[in-house]
Amino acid sequence: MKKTFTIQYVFAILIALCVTSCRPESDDLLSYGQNDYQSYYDANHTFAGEFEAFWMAMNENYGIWDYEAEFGLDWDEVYNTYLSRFEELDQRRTRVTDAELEALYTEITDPLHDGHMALTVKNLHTGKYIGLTPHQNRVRREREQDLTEAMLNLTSLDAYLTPEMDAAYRIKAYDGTGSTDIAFEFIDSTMTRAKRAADAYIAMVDAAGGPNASNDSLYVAADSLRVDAQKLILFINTLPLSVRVMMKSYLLATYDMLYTKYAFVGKQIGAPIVELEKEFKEDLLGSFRFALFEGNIAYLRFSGFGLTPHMTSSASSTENPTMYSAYQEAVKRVWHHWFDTIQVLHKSGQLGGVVFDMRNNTGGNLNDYQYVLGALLPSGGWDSHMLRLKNGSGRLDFAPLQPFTAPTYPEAHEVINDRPIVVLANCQSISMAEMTTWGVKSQPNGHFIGVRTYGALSGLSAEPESYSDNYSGAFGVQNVTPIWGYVPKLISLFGEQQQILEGVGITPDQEVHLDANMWMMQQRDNQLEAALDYIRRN
Amino acid sequence: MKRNLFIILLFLSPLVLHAQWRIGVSGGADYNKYSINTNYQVDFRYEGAWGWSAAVFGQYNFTDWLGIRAELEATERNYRFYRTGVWAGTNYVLHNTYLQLPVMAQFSFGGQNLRGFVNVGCYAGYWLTGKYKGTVVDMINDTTVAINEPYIFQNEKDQHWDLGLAGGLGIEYRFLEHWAMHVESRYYYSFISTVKQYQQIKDYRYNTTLGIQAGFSYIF
Repeated sequence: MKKTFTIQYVFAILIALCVTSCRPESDDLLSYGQNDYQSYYDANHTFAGEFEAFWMAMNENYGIWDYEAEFGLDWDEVYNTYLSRFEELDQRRTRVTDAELEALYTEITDPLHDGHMALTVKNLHTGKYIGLTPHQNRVRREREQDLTEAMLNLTSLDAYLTPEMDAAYRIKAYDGTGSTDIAFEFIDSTMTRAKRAADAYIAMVDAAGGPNASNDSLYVAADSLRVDAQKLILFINTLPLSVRVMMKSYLLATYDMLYTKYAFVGKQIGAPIVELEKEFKEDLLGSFRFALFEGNIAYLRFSGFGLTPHMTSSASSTENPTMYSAYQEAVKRVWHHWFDTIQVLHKSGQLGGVVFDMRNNTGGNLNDYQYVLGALLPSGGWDSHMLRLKNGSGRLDFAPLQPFTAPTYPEAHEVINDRPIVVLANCQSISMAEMTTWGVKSQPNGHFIGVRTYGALSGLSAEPESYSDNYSGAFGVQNVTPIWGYVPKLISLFGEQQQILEGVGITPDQEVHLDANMWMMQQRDNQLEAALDYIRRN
Repeated sequence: MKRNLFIILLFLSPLVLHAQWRIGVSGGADYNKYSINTNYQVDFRYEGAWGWSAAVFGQYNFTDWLGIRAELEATERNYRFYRTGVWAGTNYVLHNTYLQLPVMAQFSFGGQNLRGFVNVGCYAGYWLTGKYKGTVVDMINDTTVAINEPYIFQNEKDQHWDLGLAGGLGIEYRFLEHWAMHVESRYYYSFISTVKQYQQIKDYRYNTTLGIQAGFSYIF
């Protein structure tokens, strides 16, 4: 009996020991999603603290650590290697320069493959926020030739509109946002209005005594200008590139002069010209073009996916139209020209094929899919690939996979599954342009011509500030917290092997490099001609 | 040497005299709880979930009150994950199937036909499969969709092997000379985190399982 109790005691002690000691506890983590005082305390005071916050935030938010490991990156090793270098910066008595800090963080982030990621780190000595875009560095570093080709401005189809063009490549019908009557009509009227407004303002202020006029008079004049300045902004933002080059000088010069001359009024009369220029450059829809080539090959090109707001806008008021609404009408008109042409030709069995030109297309809204490739596929959506959501603070924590169902055109339409669809893309085809490229390449009648795309295929949060919705997608607050990051939370997995293609991009079925000499000397586009040739052969 | 062997056999003789083999089957339901530190993810909710278990076992009794029992058991260690707030709609159970081998000492007490018993021991297991069943929020189309898909193991992260304590409390009724039936409440306490420590940040996640099972055994 005594022996029985002894055994029981031994077991009881063993159990007690195991239960109390065999389950080590997890680390407690802080959130870097918001401007949290505790999370960012060290980061606000030392370079080492800033690096640790950066390392942790990336560790918890970045969605493709498994992919990076395939390229040999060990994020723990990054911590062990670099922490001491930041500690050295803290101990140093001399000022840390922006270039120095940028070089250090570039060294850390350049190996990362995500194609969308944007990061900033603050130089605690100078107060400057340093931007980091490793994906751009990668393209510059690894794809110099492709980038040089992409830098050529491939927007003109003028050569193909001339009667001298080889008959096989000639354009039969053409439409573009910058060439429609409606757009020109409003450009003219807005030009006139803007000139009149500028002249009136100058006259008004001068009549009131110029810079020495009473404040009241100047305020009245400034108010008057402010209204017109907004019109000016809208107008400049929506000017097609070719028209802008011809006509912008007077407007910009006038506006600049006004802004500078009367800034002393102290009343905001509009945005500085630098901001106007920036907005203009970032305009996603600088050009939108349809062409019908010989052989009934329908061609569509645009520079960014921002169609949906235009396609869904209501008709502009005829009584008081704005330049912007006119532009929206022009986009709709071009798109319908392209779409309706395909419908008619396919119904009558005359459609030769379709070309999507995604070269230098920088991506944009997902919903646009329905107006591009989705307009040729059956309604109800198309399962393009799988999505993996970063879900949890662990480096490899993911939610169950979900199919990425791309929206397709919901109204009754022709499904183009019997004629070739070709997509042209290059190393500046980014994000949605790559999704479209993948979509075309995946169709039985699809073909991709050009060079490998950019490699930015994962999804970003439309609202990076909504970090707490999923604890991923972004960390920090831009230009407020010492570190900030905007990183994809929806990782795209392609094909049967469910491959991640960040930093790699979509590989063409038929690699064709741009013949730069041919383009510059003759304005002929050998990639486009390869697409037309392919369709004719098939 | 021979003398020593004789002494050992002498000591073991009472046990050998009571030696008795039995084999059996058992099955039942279990409720698994998943322990994880969700940190700042305040709307991440992990709850226990029910599963099943089935086992074959062999037992060797040294005396009428002490035996050793080994089982080969297939069991589920499931847990539910759901979100509140804007992601409400994500609500699924991860069904995890383990194959495990509990080895326990059995202490029994009571009468000839009706006896209580306590099992105490340990187990080793292997995580065979995982499967999600439930719904998730479709981020693209802003809807909730049903999912029924396999859990994809990540070798760097997922720990297939498991080890822990096993224990049970039950009652057995011997209804024929060679046949007995039993009901048992079984408890598994894992020492091995389901995720490997693949990153510098320490992150441990454990299963703790409470089951109820019934079975039959044939006593030789």
